[in-house]
Amino acid sequence: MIRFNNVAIDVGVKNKKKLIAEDFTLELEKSDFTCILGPSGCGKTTLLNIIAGFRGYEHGEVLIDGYAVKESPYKLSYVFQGHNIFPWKTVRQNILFGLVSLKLSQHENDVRISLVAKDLGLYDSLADYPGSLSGGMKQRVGIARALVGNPDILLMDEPFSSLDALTAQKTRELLKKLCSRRSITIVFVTHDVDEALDLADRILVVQKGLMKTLVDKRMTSEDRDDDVICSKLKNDIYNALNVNMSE
Amino acid sequence: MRTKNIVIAISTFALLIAAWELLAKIGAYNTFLLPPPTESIAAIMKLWREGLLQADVLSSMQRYLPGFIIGGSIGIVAGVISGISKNIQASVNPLFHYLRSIPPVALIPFVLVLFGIGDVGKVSLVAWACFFPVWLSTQAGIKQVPREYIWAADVFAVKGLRRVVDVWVPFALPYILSGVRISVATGLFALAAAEMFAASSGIGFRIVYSHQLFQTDTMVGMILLLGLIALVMDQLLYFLVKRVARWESE
Repeated sequence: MIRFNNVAIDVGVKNKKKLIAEDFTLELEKSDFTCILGPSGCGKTTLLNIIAGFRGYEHGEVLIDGYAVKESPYKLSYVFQGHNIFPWKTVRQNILFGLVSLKLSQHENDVRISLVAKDLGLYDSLADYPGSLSGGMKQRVGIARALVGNPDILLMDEPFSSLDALTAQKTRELLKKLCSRRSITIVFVTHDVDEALDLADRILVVQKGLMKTLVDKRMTSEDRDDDVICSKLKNDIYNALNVNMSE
Repeated sequence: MRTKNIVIAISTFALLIAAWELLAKIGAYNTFLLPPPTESIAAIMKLWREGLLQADVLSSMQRYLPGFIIGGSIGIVAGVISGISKNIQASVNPLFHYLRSIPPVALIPFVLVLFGIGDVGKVSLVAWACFFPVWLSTQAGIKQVPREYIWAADVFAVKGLRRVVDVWVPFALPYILSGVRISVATGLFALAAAEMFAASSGIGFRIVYSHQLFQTDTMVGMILLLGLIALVMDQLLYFLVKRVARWESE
């Protein structure tokens, strides 16, 4: 579905550019929930931003089902880490923002917003401004806005990193439930190993320095429930990351 | 908290006026040069009874409000455009910074030559004075829009005017407001100066006219009135924006 072919990526400004990837190759499968793990600064968010078309790369190619990113006919959505929703819009208006370009009828908009708001427990807060919501609810508004247009690809950049453990766990459960009902390709960036183990069909660990896949592991729902498998994978991930960090 | 702030503000004004009155009454200075507040207010009330005060305020507002609205509106539009487009910013910024550093007072003779002594020139001068603070603040606000907000508009394909109205302007609203509030004072400054040069009515005219007649009580009273008008307009704008930007209070 999403392919990085021999991609080179530079970050930084004009005279202080740093190469973070060279001949980087990666293939993400359709309808997979892929979690990309890695230390801060390894370029996880940069990968998402390239898929979204927010930034370019030096050479190579990034294709979505054979199409260049900007020519892809697939609907793409993004849940950002910070500044996720607009404080000047009510919850309803924020969710509606995800539907504006679809030019649906008022009735269709209302139906879709009601459905997604009910799914995410936001129905009673539709008229509220984000300023009066908790962090968890704000994040759910961001997810609702991303899902309301029924995207084919959903990019999520550490969406739960600012939430407390309990709220993050609840929101993860909600996300799993919602995604199991839809056929979406999800690319989820996180630095939380437990979060990745809890959510992913596939876990990719990328190294800092010149980007390279250190661990690439598929997970079934049985694997996720198996403590031994999870514990072993967790050890493998930490070992891979520790070796990378100490190098 | 809000009530407490109002009480503090009013008390400060009251204390200052009381001290001024007291110093005048005990003969601490020459009251011909600076009459006490009671005399200044009495002079203003006399103008009111003669119908001159209403005529002056009306004349000034008929020049000020159109200039303020025109200059402010163009300032917002120009600020949004130059804030969004780096190329436009690069081309207009040096010119606008050059033009805004020319005091509006220095333009009065030129405006008189261009438009004559009618109201068009005064309205234009007020618009000129109001334009720059609004343009500068709006541009600063637009430039501060977080990239995640712009990306969100990209992802959800919200483009054109819809993006401006839904994303850019609401984010920049506090910046725009501060520019508009500054322009209240700069506009009044330009108006008063223009009316002092070439007018037969208006607050600026009355200040200069009473100065020529050595009516310092009227002169000081009209200066105080000018400040009061600026204060009232500023507070009206503050409450208007509080009402529009309801999310700020939640």
